[in-house]
Amino acid sequence: MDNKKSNQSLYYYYRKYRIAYIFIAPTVIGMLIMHFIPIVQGIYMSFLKLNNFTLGQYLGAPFIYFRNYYDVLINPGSPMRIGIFDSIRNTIIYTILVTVGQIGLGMIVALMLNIDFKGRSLVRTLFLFSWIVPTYVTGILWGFMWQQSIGIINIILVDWLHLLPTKPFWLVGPNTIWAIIIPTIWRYWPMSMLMLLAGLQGISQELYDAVKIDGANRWTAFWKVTWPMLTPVWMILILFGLIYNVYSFNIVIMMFGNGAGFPGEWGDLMMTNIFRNSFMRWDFGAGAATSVILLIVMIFAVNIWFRFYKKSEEAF
Amino acid sequence: MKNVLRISVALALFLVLLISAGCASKATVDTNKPVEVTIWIMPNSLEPVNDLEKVLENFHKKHKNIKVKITSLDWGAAWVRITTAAVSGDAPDIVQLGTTWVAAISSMGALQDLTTSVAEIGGENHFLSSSWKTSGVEGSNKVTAIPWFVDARALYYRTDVFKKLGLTKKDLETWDGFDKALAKIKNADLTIDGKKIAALGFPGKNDWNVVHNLAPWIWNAGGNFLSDDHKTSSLATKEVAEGLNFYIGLVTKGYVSRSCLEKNTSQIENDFNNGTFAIIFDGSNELRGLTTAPEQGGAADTYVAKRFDIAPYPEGPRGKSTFVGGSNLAVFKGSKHKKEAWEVIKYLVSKEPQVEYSKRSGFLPSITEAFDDPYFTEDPRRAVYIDAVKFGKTYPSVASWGLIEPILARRFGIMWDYVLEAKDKFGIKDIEKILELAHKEVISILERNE
Repeated sequence: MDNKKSNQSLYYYYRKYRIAYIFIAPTVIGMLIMHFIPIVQGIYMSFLKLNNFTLGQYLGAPFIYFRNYYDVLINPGSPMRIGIFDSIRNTIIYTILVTVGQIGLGMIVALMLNIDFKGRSLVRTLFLFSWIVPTYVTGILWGFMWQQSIGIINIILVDWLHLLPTKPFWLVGPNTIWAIIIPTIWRYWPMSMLMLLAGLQGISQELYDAVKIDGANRWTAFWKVTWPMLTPVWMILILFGLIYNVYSFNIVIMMFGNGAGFPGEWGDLMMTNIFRNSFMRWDFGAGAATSVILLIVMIFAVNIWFRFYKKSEEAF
Repeated sequence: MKNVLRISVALALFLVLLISAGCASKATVDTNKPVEVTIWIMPNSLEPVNDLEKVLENFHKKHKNIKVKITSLDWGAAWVRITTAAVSGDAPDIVQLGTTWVAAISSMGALQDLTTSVAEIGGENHFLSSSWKTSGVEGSNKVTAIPWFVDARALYYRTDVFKKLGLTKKDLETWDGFDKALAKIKNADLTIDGKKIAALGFPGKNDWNVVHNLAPWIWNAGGNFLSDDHKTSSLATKEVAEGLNFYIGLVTKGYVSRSCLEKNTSQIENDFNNGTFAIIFDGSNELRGLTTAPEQGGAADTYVAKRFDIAPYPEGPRGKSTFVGGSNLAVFKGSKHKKEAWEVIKYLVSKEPQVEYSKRSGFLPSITEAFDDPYFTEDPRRAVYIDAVKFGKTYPSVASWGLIEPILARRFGIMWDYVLEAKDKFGIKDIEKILELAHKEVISILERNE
């Protein structure tokens, strides 16, 4: 009886939204081909002993059950596990700081551009410049800028502003993490700024007038009106930040040895680690296992984000 | 019934005719039928496709029916492109392989066995012995990739600096003499042509040659990467530590500026050409750059180009080897034009094209005969490379090497980070700790891929 009912309702929905289903069908089919099939294949590969000796057999390579997962996470003698915890630590620090940096900087500039002044549209266009620079160019350019003796960053910090007593190394040692965080913020903040600016322009002036009557200053008005009203925007920006930055690759790989070098203990991210193990060490099985672990972690992270997002939506 | 029989006979006759026509067309292969042979190469020169086309001009005159289609791949992308081609079968007829890749790609079973054809080009003795070692998987007795060109390293020094300080080429012959010469240059604190002269320049971590740069110092101290049977690592030995200690000592003693450690080979090369360093180590393409006119993309008009010479690597306590790399040519098993592809390879490893390609790319020929050409014998600087390839050493041509090298690049990259952080306190005990870790990592790779 229940089945019949649900079948009826399915048919009802199909009849009602037939046009919509027809329109989204190409996208669904495309997604299946471009995403779902490769994901399933990647999961299957993570159970195979797929290295340069067995690559010719491809999906027919020996099935080794959870051995790759054991090697990546538990086996202390496994080459795949080398440096994995450095990559995890760096990816967490990188994702948090880049996301906060992008949204923070985007917010400050969006607030500035929300004020009407002469030449505002020109400034807004100029601010988009870093966003239109391809990421691999950003990586190469900042690689030059971070150089210790002749890099412009040390020249500004030490020779011009005298902020530091000596010129630090940015491309070697623990400072490497800053050398990858700052260019990523620089590359992506205009996107945050644009979205926040669009959000700001949708906030009614009446709300500001109301809090002003209640005696609120600009600081209070920002935290009581602007920030809560922009919740849907910055929540989306957090999601974008989480996904883009965990899967960040180009800037790091191009900054260090033009794609051939190793970024170091403080520059190696999950994606550079997976790339090195899969495509330079030819351990595709273990590389696929690491990717699947990352996929599961990301599903959890996005799920947590979604719960917060739902709560914030309900609060509106 | 009769009709059925007639139709059957007619059909059978038709089939026989069809089959015989098919066989006939197979049996009479038209040798003049145009054939396109595809080749993937890397950017070995400033104009990779154009330069190889020029070298192939005489080949095309002799083989009018064969057209060679050249595609240039970036080194960074080539590794992935070639392995994908090996697996998918969507491959060119001929492929250029870096010498350290030959064993790994061969072990995938994607390359044509060329063993029986080698006699046609003069056999093993036609090639440099160091280069021939990379022609297949060691111990397999199969030839899968024919050496095409060789990349060897030598020492470049500024003659004006040496003259000023009373130094000669002889001072660079041994590690001890090399150390003393560097100390003298450092203490002299020279400024020439407005540039402060640093004694030595070499790259550190951010380079694609991390392991190649360290190899000669390890070998010349008596060390090696793998045991003789290639079954285990030999990194955790006193000799390897001593070799690295000498090389790192060049930084901790202040001969190499710490800012060099964040640069790559090209940046160090540029700095030398601009007059910053008294000494660097580099391949033969640097000689080509310094002797080529600026309008052809060279730097022959620079201050340094008129004041430099080349010497072999300083001899260590147990040898005078230099790293020898380069590239080989292989035919993919899936090639539809194997015969024509072999003709192209045969031509490219003959004397004239070898010398011509060396002139264009700056790399060295892989065949011994080519070194008799005046291009090599008449220029004493180029002749240094003849010795370099004679004493040259390659990595073991085993399938696992492709997996080991990135792990070593990572571990030695971290080592350079530590050298920088520890300043002058980085000693042999620290090196031994790093080598112990590298040793374990290499063993785990060998065990995993057994």
